[in-house]
Amino acid sequence: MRVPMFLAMALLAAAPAAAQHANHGAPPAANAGEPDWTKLPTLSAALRGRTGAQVSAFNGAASEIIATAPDGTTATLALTSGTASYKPATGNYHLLAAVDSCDAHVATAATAVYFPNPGRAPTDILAAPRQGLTVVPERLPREHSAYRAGETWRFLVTMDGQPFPGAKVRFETANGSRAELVSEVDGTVDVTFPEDFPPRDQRPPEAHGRPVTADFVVAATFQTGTVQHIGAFNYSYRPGAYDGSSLATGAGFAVLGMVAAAPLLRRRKGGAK
Amino acid sequence: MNAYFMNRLRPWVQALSLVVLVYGSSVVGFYSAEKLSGALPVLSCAYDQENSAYCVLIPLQHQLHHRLGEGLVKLQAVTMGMVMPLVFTMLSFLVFFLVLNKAFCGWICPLGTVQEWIYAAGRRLGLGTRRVPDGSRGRVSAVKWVILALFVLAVPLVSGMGLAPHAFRDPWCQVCPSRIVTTLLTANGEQVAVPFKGDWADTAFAALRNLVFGFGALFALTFRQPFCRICPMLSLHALFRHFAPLRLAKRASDRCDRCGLCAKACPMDIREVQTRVGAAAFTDDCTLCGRCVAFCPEDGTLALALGPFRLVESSKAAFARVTRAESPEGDPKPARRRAKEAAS
Ligand code: SF4
Repeated sequence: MRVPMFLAMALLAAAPAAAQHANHGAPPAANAGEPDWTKLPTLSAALRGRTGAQVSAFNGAASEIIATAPDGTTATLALTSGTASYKPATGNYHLLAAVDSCDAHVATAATAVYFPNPGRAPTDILAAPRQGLTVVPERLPREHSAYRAGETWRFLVTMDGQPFPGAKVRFETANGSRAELVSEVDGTVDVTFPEDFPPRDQRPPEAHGRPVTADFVVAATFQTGTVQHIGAFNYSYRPGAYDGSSLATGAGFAVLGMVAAAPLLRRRKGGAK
Repeated sequence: MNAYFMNRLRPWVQALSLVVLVYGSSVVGFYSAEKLSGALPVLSCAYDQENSAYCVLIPLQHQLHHRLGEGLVKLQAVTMGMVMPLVFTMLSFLVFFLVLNKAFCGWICPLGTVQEWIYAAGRRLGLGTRRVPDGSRGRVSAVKWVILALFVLAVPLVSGMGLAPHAFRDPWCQVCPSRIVTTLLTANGEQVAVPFKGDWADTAFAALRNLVFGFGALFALTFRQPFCRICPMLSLHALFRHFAPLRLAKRASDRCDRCGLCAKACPMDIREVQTRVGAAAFTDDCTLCGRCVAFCPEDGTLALALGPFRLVESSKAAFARVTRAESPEGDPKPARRRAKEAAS
């Protein structure tokens, strides 16, 4: 009796070590649906359960999406009326990219999607060289985290795998913010997410306790002769760290706890007790 | 190993573990969940964005909520795949968890370390030492089992089944003091902030979390490791303590009745280490810190053992050196007294 119970409890205790979090820890992906806030090429990935996503491409004429799993394996997803379904074998972040090319332009749209199942971290796929002009974040948010208003995150502009300095970079958010930036000598560009969410009472209600998100896109552009190159990365961000919460109130409760403990610090007569 | 040396070594191991667990993202990489996640059964918070691991209690609650709870409601068969995803990735966890046993509490856990630092500060301030009175120890010790059963296992499950509000999906994490301590150590006050949005339960949880944190942080000046007494990680470990090879070993000695320094040195106020022998001296509250071994004046009566190997044994010589530096309660001896004792 003791041994089977021990084994059952050991497995139960260890099971979480194997699995990454269910939905709650997952960083928010780009919102699904046609964006009405940008003309730049974007992708969306709406999760279907824990292991699948419906992927869509907007503002371009790409015919397929290349999905890269965290171990570097790729899958080509044919787009039918702009959408495709993706069912990878492993979890964690996967990179999605779609190329739309014609005589006048070459545009690469990219986004990331997080599957709440075990899988390798995206370090390698973010660092892997990519064809054409592309933008990817240096880091994707970890579990339990998100890009948040007020925070600055670094993006990397590359051309055929090489850092691309001096590119004009446009930053646009679904909340209406616009900024023009230029990539540095090492191809990096630092983006500060603006505090541009509407006041709390004008936002849609938070579903399932998850904060609202808004999409953004970071796009580098560059002209060679008559061909315009565009590399874009879109994802979503959340309101700032202290949105709708009060640090002072929390500190007040902590002090209250300390006040309650203070009488216990008095030394009792007769020494240690 | 000499017990004196072990007693000196432990604070360094603790400090190093704290650095790795709290600031580890710069040591093992940003997505270090990849490297360490869940492998170390200590309280290290996922809400901390600098850290290198997340505490196993979070996914434990979430899995009960999502996989088992929601699965039961959807009337799916509860398959092994739900309870036990990927046997191989859990091996590292099992090895650590089972072999090193509760030594994680006494040697690795950042929350334990911070509490020991606070208590040490209390010594410098000349504060007394409070203990759990012998008569109440059973009741205090039971709290950690109730917390494990209720807050880590039952409530998330019930919430996943839709029978409790969604905000109760991870009730332990909602009030866990480590969530505040490890994030504050990275100068991040977000876990202190009280949300006034969404669910009232989130507001109440955050208020309670701060109250408990504030109370414990101050109380730790005079009472050793208050949070450890009720920690569900300790009870989770305690379930397996008699199967794990690393353990506290106690031999019978007729002088124990009159001595009791081991129980005085024990930060968890475990009386059994003095009064019992064999497996009974290794109780569910023991964190394998080894202080009792260092403060035992008799050769070989107490030991930390790994299977048949006695790794650290109590000895007269180690006792003499340990007690020259500090009292069993951890009060440092003034240099003058130390010099006098050394001379005599
Ligand atoms: S019984 Fe010994 S090893 Fe266990 S917590 Fe107390 S002093 Fe530490």
